[in-house]
Amino acid sequence: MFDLIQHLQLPNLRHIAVVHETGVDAAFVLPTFVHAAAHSLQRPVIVVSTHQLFLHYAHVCRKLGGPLHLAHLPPDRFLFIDALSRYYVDPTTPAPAANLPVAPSAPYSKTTEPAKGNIVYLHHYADVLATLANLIAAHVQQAGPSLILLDDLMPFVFSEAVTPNDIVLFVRRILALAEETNSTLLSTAQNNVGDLDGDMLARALPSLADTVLVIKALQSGYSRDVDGQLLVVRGKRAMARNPTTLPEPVHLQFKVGDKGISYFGHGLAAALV
Amino acid sequence: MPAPAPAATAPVRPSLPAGTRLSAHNGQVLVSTGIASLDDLLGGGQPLGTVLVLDEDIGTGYATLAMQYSLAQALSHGHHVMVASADDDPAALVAGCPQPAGAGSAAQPSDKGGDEAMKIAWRYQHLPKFGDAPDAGRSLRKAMGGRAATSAATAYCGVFDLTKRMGAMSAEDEERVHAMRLGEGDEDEDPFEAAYAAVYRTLSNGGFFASAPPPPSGQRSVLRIAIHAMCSPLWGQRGHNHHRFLIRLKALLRHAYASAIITISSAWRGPRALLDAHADFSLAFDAFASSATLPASIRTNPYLTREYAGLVAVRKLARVNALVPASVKVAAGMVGQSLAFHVRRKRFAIEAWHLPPELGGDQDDEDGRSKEQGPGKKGTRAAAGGCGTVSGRNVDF
Repeated sequence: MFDLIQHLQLPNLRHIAVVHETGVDAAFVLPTFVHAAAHSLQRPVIVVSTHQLFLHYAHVCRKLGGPLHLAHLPPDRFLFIDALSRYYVDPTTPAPAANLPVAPSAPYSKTTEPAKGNIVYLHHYADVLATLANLIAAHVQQAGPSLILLDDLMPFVFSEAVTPNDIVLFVRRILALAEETNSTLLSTAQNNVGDLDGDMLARALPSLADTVLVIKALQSGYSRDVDGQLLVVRGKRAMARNPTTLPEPVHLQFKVGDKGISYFGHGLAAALV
Repeated sequence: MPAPAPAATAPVRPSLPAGTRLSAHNGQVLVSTGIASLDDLLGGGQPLGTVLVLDEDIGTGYATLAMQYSLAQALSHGHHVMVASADDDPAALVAGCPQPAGAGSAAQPSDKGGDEAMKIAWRYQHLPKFGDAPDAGRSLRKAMGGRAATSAATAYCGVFDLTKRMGAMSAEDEERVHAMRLGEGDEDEDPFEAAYAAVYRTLSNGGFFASAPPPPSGQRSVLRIAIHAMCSPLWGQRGHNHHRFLIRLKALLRHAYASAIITISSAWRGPRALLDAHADFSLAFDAFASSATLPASIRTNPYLTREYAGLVAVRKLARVNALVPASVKVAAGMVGQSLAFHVRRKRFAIEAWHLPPELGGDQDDEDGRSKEQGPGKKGTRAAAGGCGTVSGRNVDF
């Protein structure tokens, strides 16, 4: 089976952009990177999430296996920035309770002490992106080379306080931080959403990347054994730095399971071989 | 003799809200939509904290009907209901919900006497009737340590009779209904802002936030939010307001004992992909009777129109707390494919559609395609018109 994480050689990359087309849900990609960085690569991880709560990542990483629960990782190894819970919420809104359970069934199961993760709630005020950049920078300076995941930046496009230019400048700032500290930035965006600002962001991110992962649906529709296609493409940044080598893009197909994702070559699905 | 020391009080585990069950797939708390097949599609029900978006069909009102089923189910479980609409009277939407089957029969005097009642076989008299059994979720709740919250009489997913509508409600039920008519206030009022404020107010005042202390009884209630015909011309969409509203709503619901169903007006012609990105579940209803997008070969197919009322496109299924959707009906790679739905008096069903063998393939078409591709390429293209295939495209694997 193809090992995508090993193939990418994360510590050598500064920016990976994940671009997915309409008709395919790429929500499965980021938790696998979180899991790999936290358990296999032993790198500090920073997750900025605008779609899911910490519960989601904790639960998925438990299913993917590993010796440690995300909630029990020391604060210098893991930081979760919840950019959803306080999205556009006015300052009078009560903050989410600090002792919310890590596992969704915890209130109804026999576990007595729900574990807490290292979670920071991002308030969406006028200087939200500056605050976010400072949070990430402070943590990286303390923890060392990290994996920084931005899942995803599209909701910032619709913020009243943020312009699309601000978002690109923010990505550039994080990228400069990654260069300084040998960290890796992983960002996601959906392509062809039909919105001018959204599409601009989706096209700007790959142009700042070393490697672009393009996720597409199967053209022929439903298959029991294959869920979609993945293209691993060298990004503009990598080509600008090293223009002499132009490797061919890697075409893969994938099948998402409850406890992991299998990547394989064209026509090499486990059920077919 | 000294008085016995009081026993140490064990921490009381909160019980599941009435009419909910835990998902065996990802441990989320689920509520029923009132349509058993839609529950299956969503993975056993709609998880609390999620947003389900339904694209309305043009002309017909099947998406609204599906929303009303959900409201009816919520009311039958004793949940609180919040309905917001700019196009229709929200109270009328609730009053038009289908009534639980058999709810009115007890009040109606039977025409037949006891002696005339039909009996099938005397030996079956002591057995419980089909559908009267306590719902299956009770055993799961018991296994998970929770108390059985629902009474045996109220099934997790009920059966509703479309010929009977709820009409006037009791005072107790009316207390649980929060209606919000949008677009009636100031001309400058933004319906999206007004709807968000109403949702926030209801969640806050009703104690539906997870951070709010539970009631003394220990059992919380659930708020079911229904937003009708969002993005219709009466909503007066400005800029990215609808996107902001959906993200803000999701942010609120993630920390609340609440779920939302939103129907998107068929008059709206904006980009669809972003709405799907913000929602957790997204389905699109397309009725044969009024479809503008389905090909005539499907719309006028006598078999399909006799069996089904239209198609439901599955645009997005949530992957909350899991890598794959919890659906038992649709595999992860099948998102984007269409299911069919039909509505009967006591049944709203969404299921995979099949053409009978005599209508599933056209021999002439097959021959023509073979000639087009040449003898060596026969069978490399997906069959036209079959379930789960897109005609005229190459197979990728």
